Amino acid sequence: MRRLDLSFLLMSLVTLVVAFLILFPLAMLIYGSFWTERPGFPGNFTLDNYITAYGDTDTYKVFLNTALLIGAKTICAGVIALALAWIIARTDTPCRVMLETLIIIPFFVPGIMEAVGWIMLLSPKTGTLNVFLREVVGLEKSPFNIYSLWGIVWVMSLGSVSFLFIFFVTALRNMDAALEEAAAASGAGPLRTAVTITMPMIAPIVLGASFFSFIRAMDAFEVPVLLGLPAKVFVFGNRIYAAIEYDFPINYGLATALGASFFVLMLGLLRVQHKLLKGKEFFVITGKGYKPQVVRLGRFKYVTFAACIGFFVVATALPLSQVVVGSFLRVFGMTQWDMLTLENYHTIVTDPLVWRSLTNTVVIGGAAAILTVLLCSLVAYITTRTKYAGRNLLDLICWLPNAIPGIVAGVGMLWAYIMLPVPLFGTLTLLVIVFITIGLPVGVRLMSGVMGQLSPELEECSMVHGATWGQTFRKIILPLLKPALAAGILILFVNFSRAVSTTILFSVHGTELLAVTLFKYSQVGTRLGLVSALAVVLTVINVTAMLVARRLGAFGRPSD
Amino acid sequence: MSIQSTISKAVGFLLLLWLVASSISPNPVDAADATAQLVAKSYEGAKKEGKLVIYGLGEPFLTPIATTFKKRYAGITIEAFDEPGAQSRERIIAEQKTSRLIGDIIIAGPTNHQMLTDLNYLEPFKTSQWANMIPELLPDIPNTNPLRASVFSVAINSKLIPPAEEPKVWADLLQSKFKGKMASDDPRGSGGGAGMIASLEKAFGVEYLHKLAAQDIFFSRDSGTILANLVRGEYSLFITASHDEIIAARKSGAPLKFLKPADGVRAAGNFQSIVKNAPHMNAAKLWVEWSTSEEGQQAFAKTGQAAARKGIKAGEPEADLTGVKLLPVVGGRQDMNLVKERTKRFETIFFKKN
Repeated sequence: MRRLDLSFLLMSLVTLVVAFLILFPLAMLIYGSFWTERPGFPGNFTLDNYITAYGDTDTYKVFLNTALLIGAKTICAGVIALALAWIIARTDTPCRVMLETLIIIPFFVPGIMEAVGWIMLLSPKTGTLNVFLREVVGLEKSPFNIYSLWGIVWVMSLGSVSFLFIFFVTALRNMDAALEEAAAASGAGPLRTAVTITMPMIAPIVLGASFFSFIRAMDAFEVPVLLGLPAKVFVFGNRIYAAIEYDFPINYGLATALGASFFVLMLGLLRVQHKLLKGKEFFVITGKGYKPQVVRLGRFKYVTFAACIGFFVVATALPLSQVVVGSFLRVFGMTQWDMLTLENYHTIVTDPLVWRSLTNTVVIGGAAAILTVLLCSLVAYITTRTKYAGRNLLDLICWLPNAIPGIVAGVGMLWAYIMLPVPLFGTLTLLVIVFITIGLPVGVRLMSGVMGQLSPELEECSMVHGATWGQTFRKIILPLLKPALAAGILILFVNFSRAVSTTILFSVHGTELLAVTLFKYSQVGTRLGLVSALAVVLTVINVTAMLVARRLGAFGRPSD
Repeated sequence: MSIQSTISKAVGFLLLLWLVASSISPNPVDAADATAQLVAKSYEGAKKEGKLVIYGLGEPFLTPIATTFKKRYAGITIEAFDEPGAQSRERIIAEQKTSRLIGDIIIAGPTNHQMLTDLNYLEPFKTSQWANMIPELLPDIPNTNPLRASVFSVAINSKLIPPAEEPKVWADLLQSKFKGKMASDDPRGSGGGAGMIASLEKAFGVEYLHKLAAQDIFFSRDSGTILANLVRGEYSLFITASHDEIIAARKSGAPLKFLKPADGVRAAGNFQSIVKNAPHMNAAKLWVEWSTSEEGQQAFAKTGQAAARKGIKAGEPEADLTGVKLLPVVGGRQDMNLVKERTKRFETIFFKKN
């Protein structure tokens, strides 16, 4: 009885912490959307923001464009990511460890530089690929134009594949082979088994991650702004950005009112997801052993190997090569021998701002990632494993940060913490809090997905044999979760190290972050070479972190 | 009335006039003394404070300017944070609201200073160098001081446009040979690109903008990719180029040329203010005094920035405004309130018509 009370207290405490982190800033935003001024400043109640946002027919055109963009992007990225994850986790394709590393790399490249890389490759007149196809292959006209709706879909899809792949490959690797073996014994071929058994079993993770990727794409504004503006293609991301960037004074109210549609859309999608998965439970890690079955592909394995290499060349090598080359040029874009320089890297070494930003990113990002994963593990345990009365509410609250685009969410947090009597603004502690808040949706999704795959029979068995809850958690659950915890820390660290839109307002003198410094330098026209060098450094740090995490057991270790 | 009494009354009146006049405009020697006293007193206090935090100043300007400042005033470290003015403004609002004050000086465009003044977040301080500054580059916003000018005009890729083909006046941009070859900053909102297009509208009328829009301009908010694509030849002209970006690119070897059309360039004042209750108030006052002094302005000019003080020789040809006609600058409180309206108009002209 006493233990039960302690568990209840702990669960309630977790719920309170999560509710404070998310609901307080959200409440400030809602308040702001009905207020003529910033929250905390004298103003009046108003409905003008909603009337402006939804009384404009352009808003609906923007929604249509966005649906097309995000739908195409989510489907393309989802299918490619699933296929790649299956190849890496469930087949005998050669060099899988190396291939997995290569597939994940785009996840570590700052989004803005991916777009810049593709601009250099596919600009209509001077894009390297277009020039090659015109001058070497002999095409009359440039076949590609990156400044188009399909250009945005292309860049955003490639950027999402790695993100989805990480979720999918972990799920596929953690699956019980029993059902697949049964299918094979019943005469089903590898493809049929994959489609009828494997894929439905990881459906919760596929849907959850795709849903999250869908929402992230709604929020993204860097690529639509960079590629959509010249093509005069307007989507939700740059519409929100416009409210904040173009209106004078900044129209946070309008941005927030527009962001409210996120909330409605999210609830709708959440309902669809629940309906699709209703009554379906997929315990893919059971007490019966869960070594995944490896499908022998025969000679076809060289085709899957080539497919993975092809993806790496297209998604990573091509755009990243532009960034790497640009980092060694005195003038970005002038690819000539006499332009070569190490000056950009020298600036990185000697610039105290870069060093400060780097240290803050590693220390704050790392600490926040660990704390977030711990909190998310507790949340995931409560929502998937207990009968705690508020578990569904807790799950829903953790999704709410998705309801508001990052840039607006940042404003909500800024308002919230400014209003607190505790002087947190301008401190590294506040950055940790901000990171934890923005990390909750991904962290909880990741941990719930994995926790949902653990059959309760493992715990029940442990308890039946006299182990306490603590012993069971430490000796059974934690070891099983270790790869997922390490993967979670890495994914969150990378997310934090790339976060700009939410953190930019909290990055003051002394608390600078590398991604924010990179973004600020990118706004100075002549510093694209330095920005490229910084992007290369950031990518190297993140890839190193991934390799370390892998050694610690993240993503599992495919045998080669 | 005797002549004597008339003369004595006239002398008395003139004496009174002299007294009044001298109380309004102090003797230059006294003014110099007062400035020297202010500087000496601020320096004493600044040495104890030890540092100064500036929002809105970054490399490549920061190091040479901070070095010159430090040579004159040892013991004060400048820590600067480079970012767009709107972000500095939001940061200061947050700092003031939480009373956790970090920044001392904000360097930004007029809209941001105006907003901070309206919120009463700026310290009343006026440089003693006011009378020595170029009148067109003085702010008309309370508690705001001049600092430098940004020059905006057309930049071209000189490999693609030979001298004979260069546009000589703004109307030349409407020639069919330039169609599809121009890039511009996004003209919506505030900022350099928007200010440039607004100046063109004021000088040549809205019809000019409609004709410009028909030239199929490439718009972007990212000047990095605009410059990269300009040097690669994706387009040949950048019609809202800022002089300091072109200087840096030219010095690095890019084939870029900053043109000054006969009918004018845009020179806009870039201002500075001391934040209310700045944590390093003495250092902040010392900085404003020094940065507007001859030595400070020369330090700015040497980095290629256009000085706001009279008689300072430009360090680079792009920043030299001698004999150059200036386009009307859209600024001041009334014009700023029209930014929203202007943004809608520019959106219709440039983004919805085509």
